[in-house]
Amino acid sequence: MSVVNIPIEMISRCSTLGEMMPIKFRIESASHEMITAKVEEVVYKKESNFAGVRTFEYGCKINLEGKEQLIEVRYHVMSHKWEINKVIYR
Amino acid sequence: MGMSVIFHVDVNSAFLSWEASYRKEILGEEIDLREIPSAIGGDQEKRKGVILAKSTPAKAFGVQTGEPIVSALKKCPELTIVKPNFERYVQCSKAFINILKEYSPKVEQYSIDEAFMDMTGTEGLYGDPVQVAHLIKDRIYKELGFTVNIGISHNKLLAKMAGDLKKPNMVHTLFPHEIEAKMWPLPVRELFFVGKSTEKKLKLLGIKTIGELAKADVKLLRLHLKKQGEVIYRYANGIDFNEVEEVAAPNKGYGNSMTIPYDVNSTENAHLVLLSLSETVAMRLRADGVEASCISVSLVDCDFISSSMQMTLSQATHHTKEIYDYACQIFDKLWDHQTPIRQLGVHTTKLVGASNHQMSFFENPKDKRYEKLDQAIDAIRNKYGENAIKRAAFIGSKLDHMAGGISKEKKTGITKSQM
Repeated sequence: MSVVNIPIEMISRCSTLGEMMPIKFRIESASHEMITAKVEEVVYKKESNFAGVRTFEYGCKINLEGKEQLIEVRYHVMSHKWEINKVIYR
Repeated sequence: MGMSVIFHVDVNSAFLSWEASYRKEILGEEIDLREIPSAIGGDQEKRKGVILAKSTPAKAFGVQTGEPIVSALKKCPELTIVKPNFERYVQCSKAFINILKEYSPKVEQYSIDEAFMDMTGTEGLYGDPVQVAHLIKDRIYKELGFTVNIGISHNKLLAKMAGDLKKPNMVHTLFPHEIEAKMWPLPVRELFFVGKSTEKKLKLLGIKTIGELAKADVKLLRLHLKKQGEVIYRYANGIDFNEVEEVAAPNKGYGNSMTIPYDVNSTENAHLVLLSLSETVAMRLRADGVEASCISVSLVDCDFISSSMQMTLSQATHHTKEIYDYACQIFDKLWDHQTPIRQLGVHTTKLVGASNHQMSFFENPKDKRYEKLDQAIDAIRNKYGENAIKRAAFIGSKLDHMAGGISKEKKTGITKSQM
C-alpha cells in the first residue's frame, strides 16, 4: 500500500441527496496513452479534514488493463480535483 | 454554576504543525516534520530570513523563534527549513476555530493559532471541564492532524497562563487555589503582559518570580510602573476582569512596515518605499471605513538603530496621496540623510469613522477628487487583484508597489474584517 497522489480525470454522479460517487476515470498509462478505468464497486467512503483541507476518500474496485485492483481515490472539495491516493493491490 | 469556566486553546508550534500535518496527511510524505529538527523560515533572499516556528527537536539545539536563519543553521546544520505558506495556515486556523465553535457560542479568536472559549454552564451538556477539554483536544488531533494545549480557569488570564505550563498536547488547570503551587514559582517574565523592559524594572525592585510580584506592595508598583504595575499585580494574583468577546474590538491604529531587500541611501528611493507603504495602509483604512489624524514614520538603519517621528494632522484622512505627502515630510525631518536604511514603516493612529467626516474651513478642495480616485483604484483592485493597477513610479522597480504585511506570494488578505 503506497501513497501515490496521481491526478486523474473523473466522471462522477451526484444524487438528488447530494451524495457523490465516482463512476469512471482516465489516466495516462506507462506508454503515454489515456486509458479509461471503470469503477466496478465503491467499497468505502470517508470524509477527512486534515490541515483544514476537506477531502472525500473512496475505496474503489477497478479493472485496469485486465488486472483487478483496489485503489483509494480522493476528491478535494475546495479545488474539485480528483487523484488516486493509494494503490491497495488485490 | 456560578463561577465562569474559560478555556484557552493554543496550537502547538502552529506553522510547523500545520505544515507537518499537510505534508503527512495530504501529500502522504513519510517524514513528519515534527519529529526531526525543522523550522519554518522566512525569505532569505529578501533579507527577511527569520525562524517563524520550530519543532521540538530543533528547540533542543537551541533554535529560537525570531532568530535569523543563518544563526539557527550554525546551531543545527541539519535543520530542515521550510518556506511559509500563509494560505495554508489560514485554512488550518479556520478549521480549528470551526471545531471550537461547535462546543461554545462564545469563541474569541485571539490570534491565528489561539482562541478563548467561554464554557460557563456547559457542565450539564458535556460534563466536567477537564473531560471536555480532553475531548476537544483529541478531536482536533484526530480530525485535523495537529495537537493543541488547553488551559482551564475562571478567567482569561489564568486560562492563558495554564495553557503555557507544559507542552505539547496537554490540558492544564490553573484555578485560584492552584496559583500558589503552579504559577508563583515561575519567573516574572512568564507572566502575561510582562515583557523584557518590565522584567528589568521588576528585577531592580528585587522581584524575580510571579509570587514575589503578587506579594509586593501595590503602591510601589504603581509608582514605578504606573497603570501597568497595577495590572500585573492583579494578574500575578489571578485577577482579570476581561470577558470573552466574540467580536474583536476595532483597531486602534493601522500601520505597515517593510524590510527593504537592499540598503536605501537616497531620499528618492526612501520616498518610493513610503509610497508603497502608504498605498497599503490607506487601502486598509478605507476598507475598514476609518480615517486617521496622526501619522508616524519609523526607521531602522543599517546599524539596526530604530527611530520614529510622528505628526498630528488638523484633519483626519484616508487618502493615499495625503498620507504619502505627510509621511515624506516626516521622513525628511527624521532621517540624517546619511546612514543607509534597512526598514521603513508608516503608521497611523487617532482613528475616526470615515462617515463622520468633520469638515473644516481649511479643507483642501482637491479632497473630493482624491476620494473618487481612491475609490476607483480600490474597486479595480478588489475586482481584479492588487496588481491590476499600480503607480507609474514603480515601473522597472524591484520594489513591491504595495509593501508591508505578508508578501504577495503568500498574501490572502487577512485583515481583521475577514478573520
